[in-house]
Amino acid sequence: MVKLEKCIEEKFLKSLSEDKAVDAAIVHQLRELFANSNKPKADDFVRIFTSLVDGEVK
Amino acid sequence: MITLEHAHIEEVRGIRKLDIDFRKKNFAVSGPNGSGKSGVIDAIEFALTGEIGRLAGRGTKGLTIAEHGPHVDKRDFPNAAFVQLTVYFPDLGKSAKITRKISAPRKPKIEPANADIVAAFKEVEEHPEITLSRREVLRFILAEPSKRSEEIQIILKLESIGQIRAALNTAQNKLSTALRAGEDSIQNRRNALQRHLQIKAFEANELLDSVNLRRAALDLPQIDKLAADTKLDAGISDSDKLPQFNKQAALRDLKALSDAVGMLPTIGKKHVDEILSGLTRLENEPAL
Repeated sequence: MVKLEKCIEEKFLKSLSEDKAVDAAIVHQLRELFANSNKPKADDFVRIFTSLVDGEVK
Repeated sequence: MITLEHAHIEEVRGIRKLDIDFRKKNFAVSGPNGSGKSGVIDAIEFALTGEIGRLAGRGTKGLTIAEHGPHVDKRDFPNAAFVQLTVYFPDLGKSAKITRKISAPRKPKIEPANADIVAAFKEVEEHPEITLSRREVLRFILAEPSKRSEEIQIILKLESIGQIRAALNTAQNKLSTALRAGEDSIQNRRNALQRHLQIKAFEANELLDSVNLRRAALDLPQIDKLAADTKLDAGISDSDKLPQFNKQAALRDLKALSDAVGMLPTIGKKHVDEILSGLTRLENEPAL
């Protein structure tokens, strides 16, 4: 990835990590995806954002 | 953000020797075709980044800085081709010189070589989008408004970001659709459960009370706490396990049943004969 893109990627991940609605594990997986893939697919993001198990009864 | 104070260009691209005093202000270069205007841009980009964008990318296979960076008369003497820039860093409040030779594009000479100055030049080097050729500027100006953002991404070498954004948008649409379907499914199941359990509000306590009432009637243990994986019908059936099917045993049972069916006439023959005999006696009974 070109340098300016790297800056944008870092800012994107930083804003996500500061968002309390986004789990840290999601940000970690996104960081790994960007590091290992030049062209992430939509299904990669779907897989990451649906990877957490939730749904406790309130 | 940087501003240029001065440039000294020697034997780079179409320029033999040129000094430009920018004075930290906007500067325009004009001249006829082939006079070397783009060469000035190339020289500034080379001094700051060690690269010349016009010699890289689509349609430039076979072009190299070592062979095509020096003036054509100095192609065999890349050591003679160099650019020296005097740059002002507003954030640092300092000026510094950077000299880069075509023969050693990765080894610039920085004066003064203070750590903050070197770091500032390093940051500039990591941004090859700082210089735009006429072709790139025209490309942006002539782009349709709806495609201008794409052109900016290309100019700033952000194609990958555009692709990632498109993939994220697609993922968002897929997830939104799945979310709506999931919410509908949850609501339908919630309504069905509420109806079956005859509870007014879908709350854990009320649900548990209703379930435990039914479990007590079936003599099943009470459920104390409701969690996502709680099975309300635990003890009634083990829905996780599929019924086991033994084909050989089933075939044996089927054969035994067929045999038994075949034996039915034989088994009942004695009784049938007795009944028929009794009926015959009754028919022949004179008193009747």
